[in-house]
Amino acid sequence: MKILTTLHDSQKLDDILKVADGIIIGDANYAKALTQDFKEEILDIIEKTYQQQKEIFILLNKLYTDKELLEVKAYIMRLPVDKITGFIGADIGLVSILESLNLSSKFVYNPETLLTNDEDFNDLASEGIMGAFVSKEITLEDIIEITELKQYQLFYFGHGHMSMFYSKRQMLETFSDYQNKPNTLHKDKSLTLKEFKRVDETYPVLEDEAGTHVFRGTVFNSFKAITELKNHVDYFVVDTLFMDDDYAIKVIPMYQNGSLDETILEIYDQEFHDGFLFDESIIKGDKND
Amino acid sequence: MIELLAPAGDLEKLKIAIIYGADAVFIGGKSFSLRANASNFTKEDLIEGVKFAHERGKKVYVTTNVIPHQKDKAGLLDYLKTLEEAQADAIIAASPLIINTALKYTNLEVYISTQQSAINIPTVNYWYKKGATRVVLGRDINLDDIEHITKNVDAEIEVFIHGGMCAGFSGRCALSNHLTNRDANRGGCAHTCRWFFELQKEGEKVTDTPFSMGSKDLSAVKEITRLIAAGVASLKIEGRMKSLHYIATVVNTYRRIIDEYTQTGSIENYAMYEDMLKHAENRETSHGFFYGLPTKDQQLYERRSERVIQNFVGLIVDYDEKTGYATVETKNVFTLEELEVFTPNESSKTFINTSMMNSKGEAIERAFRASEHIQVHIPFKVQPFDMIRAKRA
Repeated sequence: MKILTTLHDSQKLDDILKVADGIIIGDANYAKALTQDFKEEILDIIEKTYQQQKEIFILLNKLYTDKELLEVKAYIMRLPVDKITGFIGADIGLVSILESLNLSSKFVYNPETLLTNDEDFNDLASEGIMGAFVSKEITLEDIIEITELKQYQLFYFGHGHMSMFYSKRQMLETFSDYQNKPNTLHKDKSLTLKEFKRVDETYPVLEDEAGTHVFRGTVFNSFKAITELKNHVDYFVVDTLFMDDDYAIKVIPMYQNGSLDETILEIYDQEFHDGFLFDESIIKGDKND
Repeated sequence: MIELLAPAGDLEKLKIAIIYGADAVFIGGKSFSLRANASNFTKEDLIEGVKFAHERGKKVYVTTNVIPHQKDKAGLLDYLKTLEEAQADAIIAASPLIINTALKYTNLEVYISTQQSAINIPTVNYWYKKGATRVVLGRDINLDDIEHITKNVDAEIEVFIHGGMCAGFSGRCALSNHLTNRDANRGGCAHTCRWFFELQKEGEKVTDTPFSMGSKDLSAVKEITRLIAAGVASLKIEGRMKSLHYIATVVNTYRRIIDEYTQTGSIENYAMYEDMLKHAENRETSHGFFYGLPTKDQQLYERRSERVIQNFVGLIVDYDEKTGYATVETKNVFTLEELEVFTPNESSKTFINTSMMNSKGEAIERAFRASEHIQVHIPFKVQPFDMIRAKRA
């Protein structure tokens, strides 16, 4: 099992690559909810990572109109694709774009919520893609079952603030406008939402060029499942959005060693949760609103 | 020919939708359908509903739009075979598991649900190449993009024109899963995006105004002509959980818009149709993404915005031309007052309610028991499924 992580500061790249097998980066023109918007620097980061024989994935995780897909295609053509391990995308339309560039084998499909059974997970096998992210909203038992039937590499969101919501709407802009205020909240990573009945957790909210994104406030972790996951998952992702590079440098070795050092919780003032690994969501319930 | 597609949460709503002008309805069965809290159709209801629709030259599509987990796979083929036997005209699905199973083992037509958020040509073509004949576009693109896609693909394109909208990309939202443990992609959506939150910066409240992600409902009265001209195959009204009266009102309004446009090439009076829609219990409406990214005018910041007017007071069950009395199933309280008969194919007519009798044949001045079959004197001929409205503020 390889461990990938995100990157905040290019100066920390060497330190990150000492612990991680690869990194995931992106350009905000083509990706959402980034730890850092690497524009000019991206070529340098790709080169350095490649030289260190580590893996590099480019995030293309927005949903695109046709015009935007053409811009994505032009962007990919500007990149040194031979040095890039993969392109992580949420839009199934990317399949034909990458195919037209003879890059299908570098596509990693990550629709976040949709790949919850083996047939859905494997649906792009005939397209010759590299792999896909299994959904974050299923149990460990389901994940293991899917890994046993997988037809390409299985990627797994293993640690970080889970994304819960993605809208194209600029909701902080419209909310500011509603209050007749200028929008000073765009790209501010210190914002949270508190639901009036659920006061124990606040939810990070981020507005960027792609739209509005809401995350779990407590941090998803996979320590209780890491032994099993190591035997089944091909790529394990530590996402440090709302944290920093030092966090990844501390946490990744813990997963490699298979044990949590709880001091990380104090240092970063965090609470962990297990997501749906051991507790499947229900279909019907009492009205909560 | 353009199709007007309406929601039907149960058999009665299916009949109403068709009588009031839908060319097709979409329904949910007891399995594999989102909207777990809708009544949904038993096999027997499904067979009766399909028969009712087909006898009138209309179609029935069954939503099988959940994203199944491993253990949800059991029983899928049997269920799809049931839909095939009932002669459902298509399924609306989002999961490749369901799509592939239907295409491989049944003769069901497959339409791709908006849960797949198709907003570009390659995505539409991906599903068409697989065998789906229609794709429901995501609600997150503008009219230019809809037109561009529709004119450049072989698949039929279906577009939402009225009703509730997901605030985020449909199918990609897990708010309900995380905040309520109810799985939005398996029918449990708690509509968490419509809740209210306190916006904080570094843990401190930013404003006293509650923040919400909620979207106003979509209403495309003025966009219908452009969608038809673009070659869209089907115009879809959302709302399997909505009332009989809502469905009748919204369906009939769009029916009349479509008919006027297809017969005359233009719409003379949009305001008249907007007024018709006001009879339904709509939340506040807007044009969504049709003209670009939504502004504050497309967002919902008020705690409750739907108007509960309760002017639908009775459903006509039968009419005796000799006596002039109609059998009416009561829906809301009404009295000896001025009433209006809302009928699918003619203008509404008003009358003064001068005489009515309860189910025991006793003269009454006030009908207040729900679902009672009473007699109401109506001085002109009415038909089963016509609706009686009272004037309410």
